Amino acid sequence: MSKTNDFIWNAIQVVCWLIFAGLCVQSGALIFNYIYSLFKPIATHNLHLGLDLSELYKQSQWLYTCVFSLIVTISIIKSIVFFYVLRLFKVIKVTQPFTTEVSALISKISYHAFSIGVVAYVADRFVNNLMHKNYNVGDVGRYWDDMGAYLMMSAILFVIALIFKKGIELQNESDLTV
Amino acid sequence: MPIIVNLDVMMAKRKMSLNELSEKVDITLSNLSILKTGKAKAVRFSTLESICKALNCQPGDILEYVDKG
Repeated sequence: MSKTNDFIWNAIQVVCWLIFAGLCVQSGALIFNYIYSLFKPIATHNLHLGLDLSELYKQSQWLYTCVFSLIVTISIIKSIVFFYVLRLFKVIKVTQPFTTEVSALISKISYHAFSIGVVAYVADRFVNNLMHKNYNVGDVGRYWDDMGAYLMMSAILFVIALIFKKGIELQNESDLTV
Repeated sequence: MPIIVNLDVMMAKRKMSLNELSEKVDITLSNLSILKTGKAKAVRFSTLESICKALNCQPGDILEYVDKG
């Protein structure tokens, strides 16, 4: 690889590590704050970076739990996606990229990204429904306003996974061509 | 696979070992082994030409089609 590509490759890895670490911290903080808020409801005023679900907590603990579960689920799946991205960087070899392991990882990232999009859409519809029923849900929307991007990523990765599978077939044939 | 490679038959007729053939046609032992054991998916014409020249035979002596259908 050229020096520029090498630099970009390493820079992207560092960025992915930072995002993965940030998402893990976010998921952990959300889970901890949820459990804490069950014992100390005052914590619902500032659950994570100013998220205020105190009104929702007062109106319905069950709905509060549902909304929080959706937020935590999305955060955890995002962490898993970036974990797979980091594994991909570790496993992929530029000289021989078409391996079953790489293809499987790309497929996994695609499916998980799609699930983020689906869960985010369900969460968005659910929260909109609550708002119509005059429940106060704060600004939870910021936890899934990137659902379009994840859906697009999953579609693109799905196509790339198909191309990789074909690439593996062609490579196997080439390896067995005398 | 319907295409059968009779390389070992020709090699026995010409009393040539795999090592000798590998040196004559400049193909690695592993590739010749892949061909001999029928695991090859494709054969280049250049390879077939080299083998036929080394074994003094025709392509039909090495490759045989058997209809399994």
